[in-house]
Amino acid sequence: MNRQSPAHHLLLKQPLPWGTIHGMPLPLSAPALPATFIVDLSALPRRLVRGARAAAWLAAHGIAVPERYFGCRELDGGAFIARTGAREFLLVDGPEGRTTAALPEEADGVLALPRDDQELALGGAALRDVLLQTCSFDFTKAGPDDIVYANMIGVGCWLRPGGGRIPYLRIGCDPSYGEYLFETLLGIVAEAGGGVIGFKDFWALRQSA
Amino acid sequence: MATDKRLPPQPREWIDRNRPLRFSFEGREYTGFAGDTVTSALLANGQMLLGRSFKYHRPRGVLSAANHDVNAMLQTADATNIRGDVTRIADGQAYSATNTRGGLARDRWRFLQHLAPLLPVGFYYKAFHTPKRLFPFWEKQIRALAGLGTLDTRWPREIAPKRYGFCDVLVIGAGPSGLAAAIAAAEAGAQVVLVDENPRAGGSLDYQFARDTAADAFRREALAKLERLENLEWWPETVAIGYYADHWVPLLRPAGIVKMRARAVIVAGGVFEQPAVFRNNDLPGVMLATAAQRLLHRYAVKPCERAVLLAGNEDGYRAALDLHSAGIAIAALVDLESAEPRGALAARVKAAGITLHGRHTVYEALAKDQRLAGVRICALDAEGRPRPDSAQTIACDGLLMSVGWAPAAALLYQAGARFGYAAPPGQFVPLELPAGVYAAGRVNGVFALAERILDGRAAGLEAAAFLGLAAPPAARPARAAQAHSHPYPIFSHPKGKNFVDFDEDLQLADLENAAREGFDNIELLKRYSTVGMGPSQGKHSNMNAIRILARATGRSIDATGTTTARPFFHPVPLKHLAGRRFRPERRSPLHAWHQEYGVHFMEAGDWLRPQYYGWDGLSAALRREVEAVRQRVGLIDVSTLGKIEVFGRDAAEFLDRLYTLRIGNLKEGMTRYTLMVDESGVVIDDGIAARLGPQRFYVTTTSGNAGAMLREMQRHLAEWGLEVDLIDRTGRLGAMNLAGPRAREVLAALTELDLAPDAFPFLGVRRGHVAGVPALLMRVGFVGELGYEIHVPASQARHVWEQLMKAGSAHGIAPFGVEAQRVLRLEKGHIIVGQDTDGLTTPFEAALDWAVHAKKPFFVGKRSLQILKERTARRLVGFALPAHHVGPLPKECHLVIDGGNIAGRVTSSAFSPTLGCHIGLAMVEQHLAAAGGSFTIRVDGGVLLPVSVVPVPFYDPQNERQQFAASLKEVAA
Repeated sequence: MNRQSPAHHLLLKQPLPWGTIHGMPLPLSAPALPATFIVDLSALPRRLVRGARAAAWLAAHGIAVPERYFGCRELDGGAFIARTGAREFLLVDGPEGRTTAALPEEADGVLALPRDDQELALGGAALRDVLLQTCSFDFTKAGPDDIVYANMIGVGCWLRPGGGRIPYLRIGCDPSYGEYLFETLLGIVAEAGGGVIGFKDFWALRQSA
Repeated sequence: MATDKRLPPQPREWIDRNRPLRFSFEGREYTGFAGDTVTSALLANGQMLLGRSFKYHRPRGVLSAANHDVNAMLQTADATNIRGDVTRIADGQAYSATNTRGGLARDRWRFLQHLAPLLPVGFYYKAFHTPKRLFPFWEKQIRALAGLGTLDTRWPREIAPKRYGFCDVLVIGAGPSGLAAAIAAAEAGAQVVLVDENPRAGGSLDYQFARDTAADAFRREALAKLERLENLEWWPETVAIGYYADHWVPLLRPAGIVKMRARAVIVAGGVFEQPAVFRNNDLPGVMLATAAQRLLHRYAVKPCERAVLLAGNEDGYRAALDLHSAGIAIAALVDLESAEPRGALAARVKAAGITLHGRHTVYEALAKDQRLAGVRICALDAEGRPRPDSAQTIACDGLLMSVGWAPAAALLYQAGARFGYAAPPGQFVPLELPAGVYAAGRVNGVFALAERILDGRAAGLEAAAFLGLAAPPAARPARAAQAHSHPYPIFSHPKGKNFVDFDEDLQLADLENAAREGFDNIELLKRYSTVGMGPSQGKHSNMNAIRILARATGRSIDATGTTTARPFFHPVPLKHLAGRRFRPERRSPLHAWHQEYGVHFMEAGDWLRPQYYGWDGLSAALRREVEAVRQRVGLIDVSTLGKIEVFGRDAAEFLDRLYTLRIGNLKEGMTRYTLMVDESGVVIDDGIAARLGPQRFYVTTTSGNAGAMLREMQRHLAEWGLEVDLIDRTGRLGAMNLAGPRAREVLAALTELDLAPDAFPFLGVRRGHVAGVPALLMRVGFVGELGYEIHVPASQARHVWEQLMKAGSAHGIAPFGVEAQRVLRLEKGHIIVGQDTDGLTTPFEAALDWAVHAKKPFFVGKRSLQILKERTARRLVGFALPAHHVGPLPKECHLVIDGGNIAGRVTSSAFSPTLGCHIGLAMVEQHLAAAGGSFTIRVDGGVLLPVSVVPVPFYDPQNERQQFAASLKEVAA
């Protein structure tokens, strides 16, 4: 599908083995996992579902939606759906892309448009310190059932906390800010002794947590 | 280390005697201990002279031994304006004093103090403002004489990242009341952060109450709880530098600023001791009593051998007894008031063998070898004035002042607290506090130690209750019933040198004269005299300035008031303010390709856009790129365009109300030009609307206005209550415009769509694939050629672009940048909103009459346009210069001159490679706009250049290549 992450040429500097995820080349795994990490998840399929009947339409497709605004619900296969408004949902698929594959883009007054985001995850030992340097939101007040819209280093982002043994935060933004966001956060992560991990590393960490 | 000033170990000392450190000051080697400040280490070595004053270069020593003055302002090889009183010595560091010429001891500019009568406040405003041409010279001289440290731009860049912080209760000040407050709030269950500028908690417990057993018991217990309570964080060396809305408090820490968001704030910042004002009160050896106690107890340094204590309150008596018990000879205690009411304290002082001089003052400090050698004291008359006839001299090397306090209330003022002057205790106290803000301790007018602790505890519990935690009510103790500050510890002397503001070298007469000159409001006095505007920000000077002004004007302290407290309460290093550099920059999904192709970028709002390609300069690139588009085919990145999906039952109605043109009758599969005006009829944006379905549209906006237009659409949607949804796709779709006579051939190789003119007509929109990627294609032509605007997912934009370039290579394709696009659209006479229009331009002025569909029942700005149509006074017209023109050229913003008056301005101007002459657009008065007429442009050098009005478009006026304008007019009709 010839997709490319907004952080593609920054990732090229990482000496990691690459592979292709949903048509997008990405580093797959790091030889050793740093204590603090950043990972590019832009390859994941995403849909923005919007319209007066969006909730019912999703339900008809077997996707149970959160009732609460800015609530988030985990779906099978590592996907999640977040309620981002009265009639708007963000559906982020898992690595297999099973949830979005069968969804039409338009039906019954509902648009379910594929959406390119710069998506990444930050995690590990210095996560809290990195967040305190970059975002004014108090993440002790949010968990995996929440999606937070906040400004991170000057960029409007969606943010979803997660993790068990290893805490992480998934971050998505307009891809035109993607290179700036990734490069800046990578710099701060590197100062904290961390580095880039691969796409598969993240899902393995997530499962182990 | 053995020096004559270092005392045996003191119970509260902060120094580590096991870690001696070597350092130098003014080129001389010294030894101190870890934990020493530069000031304490120098004094321990007998070095009393620490700096030179700002204006007169007078010798200065310790005043506060805290962060309340800058007498000890130092410089090292890679930093300046280091505050010696609070900066701990570093092993091997070389310090020197700032603002000296030829060294501290023999500063060449010290003679300036003898010129003081010639250099009153404001002298440079008055003396050097004429002749004007010489002012820069004088300014340079004054800045060289009256400076602080010296910057060296070669110093390494240091980054101090800012951080965010969160807590339930922020307690500012870790003295007795702050400790009590923090512990009470934490024990009630709140997450508490306690901050203090000092490296250790305890505040005055460590110097004013160092030998007090009751204080020691509280201190031990409090510090133990500080260790034990997990929900209580202790942040030393942290200054709260401001208060912002909703309890947002920036905290200045050595590593950087923490922006703390608290749910409640307790200010227990205490008080600043204030100096008395008398002749030579700035000599090294004259210091605040608390400075002497800090040196003694924190650093085990003897502040002097033989002291005179000038008291205006009972705190002075306690200080005298404290120093006496430490072995310092107290030659006399000079009380500004009668000693009798001091009761038991006076008896204890007398019992210690200290001579008491009630109702006396220090009239003058006497100098020898640039330091204090004695004092001349006088009895006070009934009105509190010194009686020189009663003068007597007392030899001493230390004069310790304890005459009053000023509350550290800046944060409370910034929070919106209302203060009033209360005597007693003789200071401003809070009368009203905003919700969630509390004051405790001496800043609240509570002075006795036990009561300060109770006041802090009550504040902590109040804050906890405010947060909804179960906290038992606690009564606040009463404020001090006796004066702790003398009402006027300020004494005139015919020879002056009685300093009010040590930072700015302001004397009593300076302020009195300023008041006499009419600067009799405290804010005016501050600005004219600069009192309180130095690095100490008035900590040791504002209260005395208020007292002086009140007396000079005959007003009360309350009526005189205080100056406005603004952030930052304390000077902040620029590196802390700068923090990291966060400058969001938007990049097109094709950015990397442009870089690889040798692009020159330009900033366009948040975006970086290709200006032109190639290494042979703008002119050559322009010719090349324009030629490619006109004769073959070009490709431009237009990903920055705003892109918005508009859908829902009322989508057509919504767009009809939003735009000046009718959109509701647009056929599916077609696009139409859109123009948007605000309620006053001013052009604010333009773009394209494409109808993708009965209830679905896709609209574009100009690049710079994308965000604003989306917000405007959302606002109108909320107001009108229509059944419409908006999805902003601006950054999530890449877009490119393939333009030129061979565009169709290039595109045909990559798409399954039928591109035949009748299948995909001009202004048509189609959904299909380009290079295998789902795409939206619009046949529009901003540059006036056959063109296809191709919108694809951002992640696949580079692939599509590369395939188009590959397919176009056989047709001579070239990428073109914004500069070429501007020339191409100018040749075609298309305007750029924001460049050819301004904040007042209507569609009629912009020659867009055809884009206003007045027959629609409503659209935003319709009523204004109906009125403005008859009042149109300007018109956008085209002009051209002869092909053989030589000389200065019109530039954008050059003025149109008519009869010597301004009659318009040039909005666009460029050389047209296609036409071979210079062309442009100008907004001119109506009478100059007639076709075939002419007007005059004032170009560089003031030359008046006549130009002819020519019809637009300049290029392809019959629209044979695209018929763009004709089509637009057809749909508008």
